[in-house]
Amino acid sequence: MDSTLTPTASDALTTPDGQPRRWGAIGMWIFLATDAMGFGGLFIAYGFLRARAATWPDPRAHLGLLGAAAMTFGLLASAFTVGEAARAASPRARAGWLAATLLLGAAFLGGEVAEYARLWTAATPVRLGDLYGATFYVLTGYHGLHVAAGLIWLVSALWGRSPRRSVEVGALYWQFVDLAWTPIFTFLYLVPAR
Amino acid sequence: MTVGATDDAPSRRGPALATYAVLAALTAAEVAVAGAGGAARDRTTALAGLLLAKAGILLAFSLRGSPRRPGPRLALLALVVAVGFAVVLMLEAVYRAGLR
Repeated sequence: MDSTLTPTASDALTTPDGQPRRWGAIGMWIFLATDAMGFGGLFIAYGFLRARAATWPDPRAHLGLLGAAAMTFGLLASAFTVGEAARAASPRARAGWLAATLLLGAAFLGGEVAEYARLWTAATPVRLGDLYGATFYVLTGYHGLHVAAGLIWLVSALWGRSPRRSVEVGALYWQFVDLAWTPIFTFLYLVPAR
Repeated sequence: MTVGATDDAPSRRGPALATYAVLAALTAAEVAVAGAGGAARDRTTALAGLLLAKAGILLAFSLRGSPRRPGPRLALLALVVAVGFAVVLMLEAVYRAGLR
């Protein structure tokens, strides 16, 4: 039998041009696909509850639009910095871009915590007990947990001087977190009440 | 994005910066639309169009690493076509609502 036509175990581990397959990236894409379903379920629940609610408060009556916009700009900028970290050839440059991403991510999370504190102590507080508050805190909180996980990864990548391939895989996750925030910002902060 | 990245970081920084600038501009446009007057339905339609454009650009940015490989290129094409259709339909809806 022609051995060139017979697949072997080592073929599964390499690409046709002989390079090792990027299992980390493939695993991350699978994880992100499942995680996207989690976000998707929450968005569907939010849309359903909001559409069926008799009344829904206007977001601008409670939420700080300018603060959220600033957080959005910061998170978008962090997608750029993490991309540069993944492309950086030298460990020093990579560490610099990772540190910038870490700062932007921490600022985002700080902004979210400040928003929670403001909503909790406002004259008409937004509580977890009512439908509007529950959907707001669950969606932003779920996303905030993802940001916090990303920050832990960034610290470990900086601390352990991760190689470029690891940073590339982590950058996929961070850009997904960035992407997930986009509809949250639109639906929760911008779409007006009927 | 990052998968299949090369060492030529400075030469690829321009497109990444341009992408960020476009995303920032779209976010500013979203804030402007949300604060503008007019019917809530029209603003929601415009916001949905802007959201689709932003999500499409972000996804394209995430997949841009290996333009020579057919998989990412096809995924990119599908994204561009789908988002393009959706945005055109949204803009048309806003236009028609404006005529009424």
